[in-house]
Amino acid sequence: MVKWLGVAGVLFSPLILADPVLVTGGTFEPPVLLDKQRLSIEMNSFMLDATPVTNQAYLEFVSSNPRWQRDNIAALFHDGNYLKHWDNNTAFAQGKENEPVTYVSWFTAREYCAAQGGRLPSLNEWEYASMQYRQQQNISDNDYARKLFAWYSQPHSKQQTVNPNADQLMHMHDRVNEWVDDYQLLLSNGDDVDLLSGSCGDGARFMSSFTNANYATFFRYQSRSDYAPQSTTSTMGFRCAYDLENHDE
Amino acid sequence: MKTLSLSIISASLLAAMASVSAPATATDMKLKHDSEYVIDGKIYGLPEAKVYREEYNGPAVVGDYLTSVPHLAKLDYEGNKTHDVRMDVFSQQVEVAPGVSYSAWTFGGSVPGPVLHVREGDRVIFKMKNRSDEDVVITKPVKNGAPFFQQIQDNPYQKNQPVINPMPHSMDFHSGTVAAEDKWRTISPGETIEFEWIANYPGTYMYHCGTSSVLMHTAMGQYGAVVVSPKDGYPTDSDVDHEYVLVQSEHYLEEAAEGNYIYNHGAALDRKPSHVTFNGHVAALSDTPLRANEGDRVRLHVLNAGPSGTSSFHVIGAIFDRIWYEGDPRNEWYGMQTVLLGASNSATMDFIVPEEGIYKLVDHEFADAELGAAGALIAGPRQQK
Amino acid sequence: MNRLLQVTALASLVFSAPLMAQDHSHHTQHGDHTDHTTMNAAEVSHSQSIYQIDALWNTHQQSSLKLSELAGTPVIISMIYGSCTTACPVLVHDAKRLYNSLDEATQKQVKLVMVSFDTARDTPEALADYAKQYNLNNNWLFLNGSEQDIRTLATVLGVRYRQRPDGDFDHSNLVSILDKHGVIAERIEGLSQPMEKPAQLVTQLAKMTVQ
Repeated sequence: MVKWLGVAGVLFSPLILADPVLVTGGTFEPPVLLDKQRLSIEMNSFMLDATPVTNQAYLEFVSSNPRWQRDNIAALFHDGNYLKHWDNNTAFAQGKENEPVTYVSWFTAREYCAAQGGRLPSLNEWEYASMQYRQQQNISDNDYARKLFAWYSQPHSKQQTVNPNADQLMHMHDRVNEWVDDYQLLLSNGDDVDLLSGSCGDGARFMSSFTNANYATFFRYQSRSDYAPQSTTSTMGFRCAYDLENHDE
Repeated sequence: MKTLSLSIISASLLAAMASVSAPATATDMKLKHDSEYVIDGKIYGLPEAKVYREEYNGPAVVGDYLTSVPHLAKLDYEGNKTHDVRMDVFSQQVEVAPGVSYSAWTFGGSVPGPVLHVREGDRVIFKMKNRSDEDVVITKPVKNGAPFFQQIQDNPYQKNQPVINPMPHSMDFHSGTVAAEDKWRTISPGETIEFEWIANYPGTYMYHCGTSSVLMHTAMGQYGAVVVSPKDGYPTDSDVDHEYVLVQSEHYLEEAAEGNYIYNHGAALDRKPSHVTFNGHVAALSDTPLRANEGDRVRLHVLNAGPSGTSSFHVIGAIFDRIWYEGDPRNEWYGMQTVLLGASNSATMDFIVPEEGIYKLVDHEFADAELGAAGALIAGPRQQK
Repeated sequence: MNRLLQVTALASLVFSAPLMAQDHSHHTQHGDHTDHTTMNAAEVSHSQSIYQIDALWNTHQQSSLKLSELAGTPVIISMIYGSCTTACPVLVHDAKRLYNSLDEATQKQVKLVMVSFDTARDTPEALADYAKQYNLNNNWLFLNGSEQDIRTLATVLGVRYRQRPDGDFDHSNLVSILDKHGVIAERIEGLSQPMEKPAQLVTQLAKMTVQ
């Protein structure tokens, strides 16, 4: 299979991005309770990109969608720094092909995914996949928490490339912070929980159990929810999800 | 409602009268915005914060009364003043112990951030750009920057180096009385926030980042002190020979692979600091001790920034002559050996330097002192006054 | 084209700035409903035209529409869903109250746009029934769009929402006023808010000439 495609007839070079992988549905017990009534959620199966979207893959997108090139993008959809690390509309420094694309806003990430016949994963989908990833990779809860906080403490300390041939979920916690479709939800979880969550250390109310791992996940939710949808930074990237009924194999 | 509007009228009348005759007192506090009102001589009801994007590459700390610890700027004006203050938020590699440096989140590039000195009743117009996704250098001379830069450059004990680490941040001044969800709100990288606050109460106050996880943001280095001098001063002001600011804090670091240190959230939750420091470095006040002479009256403004520990502050060989807890002249105590400060508590305290010699400053919770919460004041011979 | 839009949008912001302070209110009043949760509105840009959204919408009058076609008139816009029985009728009523407080000349100019969260159930036909039920005139437009476009529009308006397992939506209660360029001039958060000041604003916006 070439790159996962929901829409038939679009041509893609096979080395741009690894195939998406199947995330098998099941019961998801959210580490962060966005809704106190829902301690578990039934997840449908879906496909998810194995790695964050790379510069090379994003280049293909803007090449065929000039509207989303750096000089053409409508001002409403970014903060002025969109793709600022690229050389120009359709080129970036050599060697960065397989690095996750950054300086992309939530709007542009969604446009990219839509153009691939996919969408941004929901927050629950992404976190559910992250749990499966932790199991597959045998990452203990404490290691996960430590590494996540370590990444936030020093996001540029590691080499950044991803494997374009990855055949399983990769780099969910150690390359970029990833946009999800409903990333803004947490801070606005209704009046009953919204009053304090904007500021000081009151995470315990949101967690099913106050473990370091859950706290780390909460931190990811919370700090991302403070971004504007126009925000573009050197650490914000994304990967796409695809509904299963589009699978034409 | 009626009494409220009356008090506004009387306050502005008084303000109009006072503006004619110097020196100014608290009664000349001027109401600037329609939303403002006065209770007991204090101004409340400040306008909403503004959040916007601006092209700004100038000095990250702006204002004449912003210094680096342990310095405190002199208030060279009478009465009240409006301060235009900028303190940008950005990341910086800082050293907290020999060979131990980490990528800190900072206000102004140092840990703790700059000390702001104002007078009770002053108005602060505060601006902060989130420059966490930029390289910001503070160790080279800048034009129109605060005195803070010269002091950092004279003694760069944290070896401050720019690093990039984009994060949302916010600023919470304990010295301000405002709606926190408005003024202390979080801004994304690239955004600027602007708001005002009035120094309604005298004292030494903490400021810090209030963005979740506030434990991580403060432990990463986002705190500092505001000293609000009382409008009528402290009773011993005229006898004070030296005045210094000390900020105690805990650091929760672990060594990462390449010999460089990162934040350890588990340790922070367990309250097991790797280092406890005065002014952000285990050797800040021993490599560069505070200075005084025999017979001097030394005043310390000590803030315990936490994030989670207490400080039992003591000077070995001295007794605090006067203590104003939290820096309010009405909270006056006498003759204390040790002053207990919870997280974000402060005290302003005077002591007489008894003899020429070395006076160690410690957190008398000795586990903290062993982890670095120790420094020194070196006293020279008695001077003729 | 985009730059042009931006410039005119900025010009109109400068013009409207003295009229209305930037809206950063987080804790305005909320109605008391039992069946779903009210979400506080998110902050938004007050300098960019929302007409930069290129999406195509289906109207309850069986036509299709790009939001940019609304340029040239002030717009009162809100987001609702048809099967909602609590907040949404109040939001429609609030928009109607605002409209009714305008003078006749302004009323002729203004468009009222209600965009549904519920792409599946609120078909153009269902929305036509809805408009009929509330006895609304031709200045009203009810829009159905794709999930993607609904989320985009909601985000630029600062409307937060999520679908619950029972199919209902938690959402912010927000009526927004757009100037003739599609820039958000004011937002009214919460239900049954006073409409005198918003009405004055719409009247002023209607008098402004398009650059």
